[in-house]
Amino acid sequence: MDPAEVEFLSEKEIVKIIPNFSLDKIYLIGGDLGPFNPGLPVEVPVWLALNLKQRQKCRIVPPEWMDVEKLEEIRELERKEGTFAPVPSPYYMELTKLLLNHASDNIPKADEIRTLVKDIWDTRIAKLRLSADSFINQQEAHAKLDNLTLMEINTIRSFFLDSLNFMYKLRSNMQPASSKGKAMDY
Amino acid sequence: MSDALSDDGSHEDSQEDVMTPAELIVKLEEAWLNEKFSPELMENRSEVVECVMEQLTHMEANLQRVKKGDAKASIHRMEIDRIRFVLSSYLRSRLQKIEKFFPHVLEREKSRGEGEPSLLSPEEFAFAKEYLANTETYLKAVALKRMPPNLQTVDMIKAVPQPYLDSFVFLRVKERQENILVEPETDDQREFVWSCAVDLNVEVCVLVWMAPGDHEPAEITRP
Amino acid sequence: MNRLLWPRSLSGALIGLQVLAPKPQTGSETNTQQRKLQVRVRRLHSVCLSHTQMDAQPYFPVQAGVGMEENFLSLDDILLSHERLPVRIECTFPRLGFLERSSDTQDIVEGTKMELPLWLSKGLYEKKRRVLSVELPKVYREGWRTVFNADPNVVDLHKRGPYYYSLGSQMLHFESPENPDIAQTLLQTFIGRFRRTMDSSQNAYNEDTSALVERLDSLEKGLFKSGQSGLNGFQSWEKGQAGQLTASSLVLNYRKRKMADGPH
Repeated sequence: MDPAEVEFLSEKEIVKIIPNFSLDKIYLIGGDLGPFNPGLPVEVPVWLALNLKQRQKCRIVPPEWMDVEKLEEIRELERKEGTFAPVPSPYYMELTKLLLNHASDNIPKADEIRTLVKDIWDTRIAKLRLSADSFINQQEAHAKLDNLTLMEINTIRSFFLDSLNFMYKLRSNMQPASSKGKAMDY
Repeated sequence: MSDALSDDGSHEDSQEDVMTPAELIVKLEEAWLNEKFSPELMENRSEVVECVMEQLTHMEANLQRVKKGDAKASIHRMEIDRIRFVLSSYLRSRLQKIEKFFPHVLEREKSRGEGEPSLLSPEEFAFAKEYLANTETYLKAVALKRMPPNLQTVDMIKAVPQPYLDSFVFLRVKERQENILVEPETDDQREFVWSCAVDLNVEVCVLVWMAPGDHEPAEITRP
Repeated sequence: MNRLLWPRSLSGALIGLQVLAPKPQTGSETNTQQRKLQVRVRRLHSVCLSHTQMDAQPYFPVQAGVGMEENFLSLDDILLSHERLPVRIECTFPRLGFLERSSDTQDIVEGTKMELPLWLSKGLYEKKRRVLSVELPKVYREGWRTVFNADPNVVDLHKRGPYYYSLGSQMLHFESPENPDIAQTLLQTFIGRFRRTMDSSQNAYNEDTSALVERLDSLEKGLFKSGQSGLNGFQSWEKGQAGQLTASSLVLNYRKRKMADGPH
């Protein structure tokens, strides 16, 4: 899957905005939005929030977790734990990028947040590689990977699944006289 | 909602009339992701595709009547574009799989029992047949007709690799399942887990395994 | 026999065409035709081959079968089937002496030792009737197996292969008491080298990777590539390059081809 498609999925997440215009309720196919009143917070999907922000029609309220203190806690937990710690949002990476790139003036300490999220990401990816290696080493057939996000899986998906399939085939070599050898004769 | 993927058509039909447009979009996205990540072609969801198309046309017709510069209209258009993207990406990924597995897809269609739901929509079926015919004509024109007469055919079924059903996948479990034990190794269990994959809605997933043969999620009893 | 012979030889012939067709020189009619042929062969591949990366390529190569299987349309597997194996002929082959260049006899006599490509050895080999026996290539014999078991990372699999895993798996078609050990070594070698393949493919960003892949087996190279595509995809997304539209490589290549065809 293309990372842009993962980002596309993350744009469905809901954020709070404070509009500076008024508009009645909108009946979208995917659900109703609004009504919009100047100064009154309202929840919209990220794709709309970003669009309105770009047209200077609103201020985005950053999600609660997008906060230096909270992220520092998460980073420490992530470094301490051997397994994947819970993430603040299944799209934490994508949302950080989207909101910081398009609405950094609405987010206090944007640069620090960017660094923290990157730290968390790096720690998690290192863990992911470590567990991929031990998965292969111990020739496991399944693993539980709670709290892993789509974007994280996505960076390793094709490599990891190809490797597993490959290993599985090498392993099935060891059961001789399998029916597989028969199909060869074109 | 979330358990609809593997269930048979009849169950789905009864559900259809109570589905809201929002639920419909969720279904489309689910079908899209499943299709993207599964190693084989999944059953066609033309009922979902048709409903979504209907919604889009309806909405577009409404937008025709709105005057230019309406703030709402631009938001509606953005939403339509997003849905259209998912829809075409979904259909495209199916076409890519048909191109990849065309002889096997057609074979399965041929051996399909009466009343069994088809893997392909009528359009996809036509596409697959044409793709097969074109490939054969092409191979013939470019190489086969120059071969000795007894060697002028290719068995497409043997030549084109089958979908690799032993493939590993990432699964995301959507709801708690009490009666499923995943244990390593033995062959029957492997099959069992593939059933889980079907049953739990293969999406973006946490557990790894897809397995051979039997596609019937028969043995699972829901809690 | 015939059934067995044709597809491989056809595929071989097609590859041959692509490789052998001389570079076009301007002006000559025949060369234009050759070039057309070249293009057509290439297009044949694009019609019948399938894919790994759905979005990135104009056509999708069929992946190697891996293990005991071979994929008919996979270029890697076709090349694999041309790997030569040392064999001993166990019954006389009348009038096939021309296959054995080193002697002038008309027949290939029993007991001759020669090299045959994998596809032919596999076709002639039968468990019940001893037509030929296949010797293990050195790299699968016990001496090398000890090396692999000690440290698989030190071996240059490209030099020893480059189809180390695939050919090794194919060797299992020929009966031998060593087969279980070979299968075991293949698996352990892969597992032992996995970490390195993964780390190098997931860390090398924006650099020349030729040094990293030069010691890899052809399948490991494929894995390296998919690791790289995951990494590069993410990195370019992170930098915001994913939003920029670029022309498909199909279109770019088409333009180049057109330009090359221009003078005619």
